[in-house]
Amino acid sequence: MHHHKIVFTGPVGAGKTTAIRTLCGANALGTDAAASDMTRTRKETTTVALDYGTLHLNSGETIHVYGTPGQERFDFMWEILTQGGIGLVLLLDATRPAPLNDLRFFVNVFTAYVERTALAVGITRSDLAQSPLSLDDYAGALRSLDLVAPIFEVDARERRDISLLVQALLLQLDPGLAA
Amino acid sequence: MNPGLCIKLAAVEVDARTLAALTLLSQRSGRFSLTDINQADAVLLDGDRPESIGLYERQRCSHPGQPILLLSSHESCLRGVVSLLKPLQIEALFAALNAVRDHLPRHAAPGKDTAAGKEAVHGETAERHERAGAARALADQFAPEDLCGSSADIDPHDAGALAALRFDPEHFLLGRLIHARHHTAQQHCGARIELPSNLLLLDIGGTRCLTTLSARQLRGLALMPLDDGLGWQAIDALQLKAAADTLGTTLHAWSIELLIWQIALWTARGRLPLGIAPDALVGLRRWPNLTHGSLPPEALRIAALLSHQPHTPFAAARRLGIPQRYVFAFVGACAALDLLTLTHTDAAPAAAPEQHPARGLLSKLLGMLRRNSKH
Repeated sequence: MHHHKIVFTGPVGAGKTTAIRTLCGANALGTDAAASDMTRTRKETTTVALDYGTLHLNSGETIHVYGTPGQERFDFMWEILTQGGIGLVLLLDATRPAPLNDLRFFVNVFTAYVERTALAVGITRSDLAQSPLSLDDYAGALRSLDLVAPIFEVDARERRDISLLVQALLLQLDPGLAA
Repeated sequence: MNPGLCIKLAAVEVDARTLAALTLLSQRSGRFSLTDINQADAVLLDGDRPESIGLYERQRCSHPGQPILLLSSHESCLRGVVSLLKPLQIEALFAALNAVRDHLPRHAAPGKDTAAGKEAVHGETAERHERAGAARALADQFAPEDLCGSSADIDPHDAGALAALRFDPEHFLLGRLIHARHHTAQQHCGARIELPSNLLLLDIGGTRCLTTLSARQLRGLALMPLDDGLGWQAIDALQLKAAADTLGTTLHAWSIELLIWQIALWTARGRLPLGIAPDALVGLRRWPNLTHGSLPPEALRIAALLSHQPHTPFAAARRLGIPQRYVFAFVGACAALDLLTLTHTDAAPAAAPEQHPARGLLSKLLGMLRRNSKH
């Protein structure tokens, strides 16, 4: 049976765990543990294996939603997670020192996946950043990587925001989709 | 007030003993829960720590609408904080949490502008306004007819109908805003836009607009052709401050991109602005920030199509099987934000987008997300 999945990725603290919980509600589980490294400066717990949630369609089909652990030492899992995926949602934390470097890093890591599927970018915590970059800055960085993708400012706790981001991802795959 | 609401409180830089007491209290009372600073409804800071002023300033700047409780050995004179004296008394904490609860946006009076409500509660100036929440509040405030009008589709070859479809942004607030935004960004100055009995101010660099007007009042202004005598002028920082002072303390701060998006939708109501020829191929340079502000019907589908391949507005409507006014509204708002690429139709006609092999499944998922995001 084909395994339909959407992958959320991004740096530590960008909101992947929260976004998956927001999107999947009770059908989400995480593997948080107390942070013991530099991550601790940004949040108390961090994802050490992966986040997982499901979206159940009325037709009985299931969409699996995975979140990658943000820390690079877990990057061996990233490639495995993307196998057979529908698309990639990249969450970027606007308060980190160099969000554009984060964008380039994650797009480069997932280049092959993005090329065969689609990408949507959510910028989190832009209301907390001292001097937030504009969406034009992010779009410019994507263009320099030969990509055009939806880029929205999102609050990972807001269902509407995360839902719109995933809807945009699906429509990137097929602009002719109608609900 | 909803006494059952559990407030999410972030305790920042408090000592271990206070933190332990707060943890115990949160578990036993159920009135609040401790969380990290990014999830919190309110923040509790230790005001006796050397870094507390810096923390306060940073929090105020980064999250202006968030209530701050300041725990200190003396009464605080900082603006907009709820002062709590050490040692922390349970009754005082609960009283402060009650005050916070009443001030949370989800407890604003129905129909009351969230932004205005927060301003009144916190006494903040526009510079300290939480714009993200206000931007989201706009999403459900306006009906599709407010954003797209109700005109029927027209024949693109009917010159009379085409003429009736067009409007000139220069005759409206929209045109003033677009010009003022470009000028302030290029010259790194502010701007003052004169309105009948009021004014709008653009801050230095033109990233934000300050106004005393509510969203509904702005919509009224957006629809009204303006007198040519009412223009705009560039101003410096001192003039900006003086003008802001004359407006008083109940200013709303809008991100300029959000304001132009809204004004463009309200002004056009499903018409096409001059500057976009009906037979021009319209592409999308970048997606608009569709999580903020009003979302016109089918905006995601239109954005996806135009970012995939340029279409004329009429062809896009035909391709997606949607009313033309939806496309005109979206395209007009994107044009106001300079998000479009325009070419002429002597280029090759747009090919139909490729169907995804799992179109059925994706359509069902899209439908589910749309339904769920409305709840």
